[in-house]
Amino acid sequence: MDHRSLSLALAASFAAALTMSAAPASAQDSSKEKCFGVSLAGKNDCAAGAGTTCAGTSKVDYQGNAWSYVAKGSCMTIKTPKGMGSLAAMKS
Amino acid sequence: MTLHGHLPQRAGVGFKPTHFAEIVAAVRPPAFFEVHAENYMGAGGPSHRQLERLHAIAALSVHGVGLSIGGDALDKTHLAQLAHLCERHQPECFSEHLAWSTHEGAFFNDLLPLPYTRATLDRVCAHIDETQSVLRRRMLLENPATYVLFEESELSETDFLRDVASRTGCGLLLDINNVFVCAANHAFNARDYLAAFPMHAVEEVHLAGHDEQNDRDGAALLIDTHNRPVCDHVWRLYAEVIAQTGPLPTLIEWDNDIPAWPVLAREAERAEAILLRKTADA
Amino acid sequence: MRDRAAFAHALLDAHAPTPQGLRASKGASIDARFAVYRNNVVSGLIDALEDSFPATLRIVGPDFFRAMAQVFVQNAPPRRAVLRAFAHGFPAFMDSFPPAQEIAYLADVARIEAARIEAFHAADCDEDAEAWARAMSGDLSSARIALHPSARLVRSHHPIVTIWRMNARDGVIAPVENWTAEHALVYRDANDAIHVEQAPNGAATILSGLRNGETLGDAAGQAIDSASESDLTGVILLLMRTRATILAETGAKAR
Repeated sequence: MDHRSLSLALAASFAAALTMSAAPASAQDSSKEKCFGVSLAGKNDCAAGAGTTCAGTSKVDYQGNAWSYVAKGSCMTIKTPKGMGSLAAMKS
Repeated sequence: MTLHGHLPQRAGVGFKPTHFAEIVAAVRPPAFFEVHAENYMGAGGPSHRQLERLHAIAALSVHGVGLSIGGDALDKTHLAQLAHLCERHQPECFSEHLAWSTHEGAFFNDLLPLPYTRATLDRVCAHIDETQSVLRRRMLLENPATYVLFEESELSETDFLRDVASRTGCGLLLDINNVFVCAANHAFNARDYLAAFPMHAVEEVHLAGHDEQNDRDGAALLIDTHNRPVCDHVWRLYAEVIAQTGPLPTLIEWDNDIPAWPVLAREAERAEAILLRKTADA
Repeated sequence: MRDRAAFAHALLDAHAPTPQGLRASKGASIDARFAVYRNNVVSGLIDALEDSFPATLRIVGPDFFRAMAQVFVQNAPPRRAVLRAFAHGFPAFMDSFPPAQEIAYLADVARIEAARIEAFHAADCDEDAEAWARAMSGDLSSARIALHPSARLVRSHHPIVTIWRMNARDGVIAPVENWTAEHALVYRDANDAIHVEQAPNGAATILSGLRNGETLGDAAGQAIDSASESDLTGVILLLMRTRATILAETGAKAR
């Protein structure tokens, strides 16, 4: 596309954008998620947490095939083109 | 060194963003708020604006949890960010912990214990000197909650803190819940510890809740969880300390299982009542 | 120093023995007391990741998530005291972690979550609300445009915006009707709300061109050359909505 037609295309798009942005909020708002700042506000604190629970003293081994955890969340119901969730090997 | 005013000799609370709306709507908000420095090291955004609004209605204390004063050389980047934060918000107070949390570049996000030796004392003092010089202000150093002791320790914790305060000119932050937790974990008497504590250097008090457990050999183990109200024993020790020292800025810390605002506000009122009683006596 | 090295090592390695030189009061076990530190360090960091990646957590479930997070914590502990920086590295770890690779979209959904945290803390930027209106009278193609400091683009081969939304708070899991690649645009608005939107066609090319200092015309030209379906109007709307700043305009109209 040459410079002049590009400029014209941009000008037309810009005019359309200005018109649309003046219109009431539309479908684009559906993806909003208000952040209340709780979990996003930061994670550092000076309290101790778990005490004698076992996370630090258990060892999660990941060496080759020693992984024994199966993903059991929503991925099990998210159907991908290559099969269900984590159960199918999907190398993008 | 620049003067930054002082925290009021009243009760404050650890600020949690979830309480913000109720705090700014409160008729009588707490006298000061304390925040963890590391949560405000972003360039901008709403958290800094919240801090500005809070500081307009109350005094502000910045409490560091990641400087690792007892560790290897201080992280210069972190120190510069602390200086920037203090420059930006001009808090009335900056405090950190007698602990370490980094080693060879790894950050452990916990306040880890130190052996109280001459070598540790020199290192801690050097790091406090450096911090006070970069921040161009005095700082307070807090006594830690610990779960182990060190064979090589040659000083008591109270003597260690006394020496740090006199060598560096820093103030102390007395966490009475930490004293109570340590006393139970290490089988000493909390009142003896407090009697030996260099009270003349104390400029702020922390109060918090802890969790009671037994370790796997059945020995009592208290964990400094900050997830519940201050226990009655700690309130009694607090009243005794205040009776001796007079009113001191007193913070209620509550970092896990954060309660509804009125619950936290009531804890602060309870501390305030003890402070006011002492003020009236004086 | 030597003591702290042994202490530090044993914090992250559950197979390492309790460090030498520790003492506990009578009747208490040193191992049990040291375990308190191990637990606080490891579960504290896992909790921080769990709070930072709620959609990722929902996709794989808590057992898998916490085990994966524990491997990350023990192999690549934070390098800075600001934990946000630690969260930032977690998606890249998922890319390299074979059990997570089975869920091909997982790391990119996690990148959206990391971008939301960054957008929340990103620098503020003075706005020139009139600049876009003024640009109408100039030649927009020669304008240089700075994206808002909070704006982050997450590219993916998968429908990550759809999947993120389904797994975000109050999201409802449903079949993905149209399994196509989606790029996510994450930004903070004037009211401090954090948005996640599907970037329109051509946005990825145009935004990276603008980031490299190209004019809007050059960046748009590249987008049009590389994909015929570039949505120029959508991209311009996006720039306005995300509070991009026009840095330089020219007075000459394209005629």
